[in-house]
Amino acid sequence: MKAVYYLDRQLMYCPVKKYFEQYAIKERDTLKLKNKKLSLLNIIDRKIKYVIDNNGKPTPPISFPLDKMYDFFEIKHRKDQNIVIRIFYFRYDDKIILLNALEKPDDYDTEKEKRKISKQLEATKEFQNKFINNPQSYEEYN
Amino acid sequence: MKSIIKKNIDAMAEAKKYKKFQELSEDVDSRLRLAVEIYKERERMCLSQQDLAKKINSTQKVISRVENGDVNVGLDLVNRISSALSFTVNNWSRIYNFSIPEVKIILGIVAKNSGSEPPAERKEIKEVNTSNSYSFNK
Repeated sequence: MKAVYYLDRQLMYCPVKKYFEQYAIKERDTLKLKNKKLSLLNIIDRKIKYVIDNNGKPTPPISFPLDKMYDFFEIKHRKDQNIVIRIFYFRYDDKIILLNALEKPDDYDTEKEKRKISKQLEATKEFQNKFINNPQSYEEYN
Repeated sequence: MKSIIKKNIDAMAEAKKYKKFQELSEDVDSRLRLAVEIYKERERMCLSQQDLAKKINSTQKVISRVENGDVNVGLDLVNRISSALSFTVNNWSRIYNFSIPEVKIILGIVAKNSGSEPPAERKEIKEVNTSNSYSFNK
């Protein structure tokens, strides 16, 4: 089993890969910032590896199923005190398809945030359907 | 034909080229294994995060962060959590990735022989595999 990034051919990018871009190490980054970015990417990578080792099954506390409306799973990571990173994926054949990623603030209860999250979940569902219709739409997760 | 797909920067692949990334992996893996063990034991004991926090004089938020593998856990906290959840050697073996040696005990009753008679067949042999249990059944 391996993980791959879902590639959206209309948007012309991989949503999860694009999400990770903000943590790309830049030359001008201070050592502290570089280490912070590396730690964050590392723990996300290890959580993805953990999911691969468990054949993509949702295995709390690393990955969880969502409510009944969505048949994909999520990997959670607390980025800092108030923000949780959520990476959505599903299993397809022998692959784990990384569909989408978002940051959920702890003040999720506000109407504005609720709308934003449910919009993202709907977009993820659409990505999932698009992938099922065209299972070649992916890039390798290295 | 030129591809119209925008090439994203592969931040993850780039990060993996750093030595620091490799060094972090081992620590993070054992942190995740600890998180999984704590979660499983807590669930097995039907405790909520709040219940466990109460048992160890901590807060639910701390337990949540430990179970998500988000933080480096201090030895003192590990000790308090592991004793509250009655961790056994099996839990530690899964966390630190070591195998418990397989212990085989052969209980044999060999007939006592005297004189020039050849030794009698063993009357009873029990093979007890105590791996992962450390309990010695007789």
